[in-house]
Order: sequence, then structure tokens, then C-alpha cells
Amino acid sequence: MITGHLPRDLAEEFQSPAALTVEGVDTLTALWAVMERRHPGLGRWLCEPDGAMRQHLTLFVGWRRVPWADAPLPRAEGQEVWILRAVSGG
Amino acid sequence: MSSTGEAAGTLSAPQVERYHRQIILPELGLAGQRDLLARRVLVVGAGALGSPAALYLAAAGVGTIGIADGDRVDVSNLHRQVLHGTGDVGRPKTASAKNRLAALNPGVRVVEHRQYLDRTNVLAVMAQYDVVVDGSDSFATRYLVNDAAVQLGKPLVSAAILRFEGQLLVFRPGAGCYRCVFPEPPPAGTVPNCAEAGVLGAVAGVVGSAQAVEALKLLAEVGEPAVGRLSLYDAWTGTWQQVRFHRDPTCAVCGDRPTITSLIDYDAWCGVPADSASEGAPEVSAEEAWRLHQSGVPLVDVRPLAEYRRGHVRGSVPVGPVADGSDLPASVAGAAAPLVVCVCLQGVRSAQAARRFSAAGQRAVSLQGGLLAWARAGLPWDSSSAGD
Ligand SMILES: [Zn+2]
Repeated sequence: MITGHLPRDLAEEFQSPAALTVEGVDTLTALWAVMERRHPGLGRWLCEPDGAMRQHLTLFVGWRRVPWADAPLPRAEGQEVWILRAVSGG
Repeated sequence: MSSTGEAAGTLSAPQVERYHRQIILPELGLAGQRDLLARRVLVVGAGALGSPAALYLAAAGVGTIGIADGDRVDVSNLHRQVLHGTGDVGRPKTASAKNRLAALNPGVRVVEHRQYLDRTNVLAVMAQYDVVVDGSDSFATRYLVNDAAVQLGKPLVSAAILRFEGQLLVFRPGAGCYRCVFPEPPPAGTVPNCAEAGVLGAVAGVVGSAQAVEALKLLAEVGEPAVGRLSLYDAWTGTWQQVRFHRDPTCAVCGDRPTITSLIDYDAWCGVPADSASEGAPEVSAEEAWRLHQSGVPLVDVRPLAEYRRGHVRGSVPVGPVADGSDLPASVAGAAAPLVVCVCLQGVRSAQAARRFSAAGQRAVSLQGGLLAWARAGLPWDSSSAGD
């Protein structure tokens, strides 16, 4: 099981909960696919057409940042996954 | 404080009285208070976050507090920018802040930097301070302040808020920077700001106060500053979460081989449209762009090359982010290209680029919806490195 956490405004845009629980996926790529299936448009918002996560997003798996350049994407079974982007309000 | 006179050293009796509840914290003590009184902190932005941060820093007795902001107080600021009052509407925020902080604690020196920080002034301003607290309200300023902090080797306490959420990050030289966590800002127009999406004022109180706490620990060199951690506050659920990060060796600014070694044009890099270019740009649908391309009109991709490589409209030419309209390469511009179609991922940056080209005399239109709309229309795209 993976729990994927999204920025609240993004989750709302795609009528998704801010924390999605997904069973039976063990890679992040699979997680994006499930997100897209459940909330059409969300997966496409997160990924480039070739499946790579968009460059302005940052990813934390198991509470640690996964450097963008790292490939392949880590296995994530049982993990908390945080998908974040910078915000500028102040 | 029985031994006040001797132990207080340079602290006066009124100072000991004022800071007593803080001095009796054994972790801080008289020495810590003396340190705070000798320290200098810069607060960037006298807004929602800068307000509580500056108030607590002044109350705590940080000796010199710089406030950098070029804005004036607006009545719509008052629900969250608690440095300012109704009577301050229309005044420069730095002046209002100075009055408020002086009223709170006349024993600290408040320095007004009545200007927006930019690449021409940021180094000179920040160099005067020991710690920088960033509560600015734009991506351009955030990345500017970060890059300057790395250059100057200054600790930085950065925070941002939106709606019910807040982010807090603490950086010390050598232990990562804002770009290690967020290498790029979101494409302009894809993440709303507080003016567009709103913010609960008290969220700024929580997060800005947390900034003050982190800055005080850095200034007094006590406790465990939250260096290397991104703290996420969700006011909706009333929870804090923390995730960890390290210095990223590939970071453009603090990595092993930095590619950004001097300050850049942050507005252009963040895709901020120039004020005069805020009118809508002519847009064409994916199908129309396809027809234009078939008839010889160049498609120019205005995203960074790395983004282009991951996926782009077939036949498009990468020209990179367009800072001003004279950037069009000679191979594309000229008599052969009376018109160009600008392309990006979602159509936001391409619209800005088209406006800039048009302002420079190059006719340009923007692909509405960008590469995503193009791909949805079933038109061909590539992810090869054809742009090399
Ligand atoms: Zn960095």
C-alpha cells in the first residue's frame, strides 16, 4: 500500500482527497497511473507526456527527498509519498 | 535574578527586566540574550509572514532588524499582515513596520530597506545581516534571496503560505538550499497566489511565528534549528508533517558543479509577465498550429531544454525561455518567418513569450493549451533529444 499526499488545492482541482491510499502498486509510475485512472487529469498534471514527473514537482518517499535526477524511480511499497511544489504566498 | 549586576554583563537593569522570562530559560540565559542583542536579522517582506516574524524577533530583543519591502499597506492586507493597522493604509510597509516594532520594543534598531530586493541590491542588503528570514510573496524574490544567501553564506529561514497550508524550510550554508528542494518554480500561472486563491490570516501567524523561532535559534546558536527539514503545516487538519532533504549535488546553485554562479533575471526565469505585456496574446488551437506548421510557420518551444527533451511538439525548435522578444535565433527569425507559433507545456509561458516577441516586432501566436493540448489532439510529439 502507498499513501500519496498531494497539495490540497491540486487535490481539489481533480476532486481527489489530499491523501490517496493505493493498494497493489509498488512503483511510483504505477501510482501515477492509478491516480490518473481514479482522477482523470491528475496523472497528466503530475507527469510529462513521456511519464517523467514534472520538473517543478519534488518528491519525498518515506520522509526523504528523492533527488530528481535519480533514476529509475524507487520502489515505494508501504511508503508515504509526498508530491510537493513550491508556493510563493507570504 | 539574584546575581543580575555581575552576570548580566552588558545588560542593563531594564533589559534584564524586559527579557527576564527568556533569560531564565537555561538554554538561553544571559549569554544568549546578549547574543541576540548583538545580532542582526533581515526580514524580507513586511507582509503576512514577515509581520509575526518581525514582531517576535523584535520582542525577543534581536538588536538590529532590517525590513525589506517596496510595497505600501492596502486595506486588503490587514486580515493577515498584523504589523500594520487601519491607520497605516497607504503608508510604506517598512515605515509602518518600523513604527510598530519601535512601539513594541524601543531597544531594538529597525532598519528600513524601502525597496523590492532585486539582483542589483540584494547582496549589499543581505551582507549586513547574520540571518535572513524570507516571507516574500513571489517566486522571483524567493529564488533571488536563496541564491544570494548561498553566495553570501547566510543562514536562511524561508516560508510560504497558501490557503490553509504553509511550508517552512531552514538552510545553513553547506546544508542545502531552496533549489535543492524546489529546483524550479511552478510554471507561471499554474500555482495560484494568495490574491487568487486566498489565505487564512492566522495560518501566516503560525508559520511566521515558527520562522521567528527558527531564526532565534540560529541567531542565539541554541537548540536544534530545523536545518534539512521541510515542515508542512496543514491548518485544515491541524497537523504538522516534516520531510527531510539534503544538499543536492546536482543543485544549480549549491551543487558540486553549480550552473548558476551569479544572480540572474528572476522575473524572466520565473515566467513573470512584464506589466506592459499583460494583455492576452493571440492563441491558436492545436489543429490550427498544425496547419500553420505544415505551411512553413516555425514552431518555437520556449521551455528550458531539459523540459523540451522530455517531450515536445514534433518539428518544434527549442529557443529556451524568452526573456525579451529579441531572443529569437537568427535561424528562425527574419524574412522567412513573418509569423512564429510559441509552444510550451500548458500554454502559459508560450503566451508570455508570444507577447514579448510581438512587442519586439516579431509576429507571434501561442499554442493554446500547449504540448498537452497538442498531444490530446492526437498530433505527433517526440521525446528524443532532437533539440541538441
Ligand atoms: Zn542547493
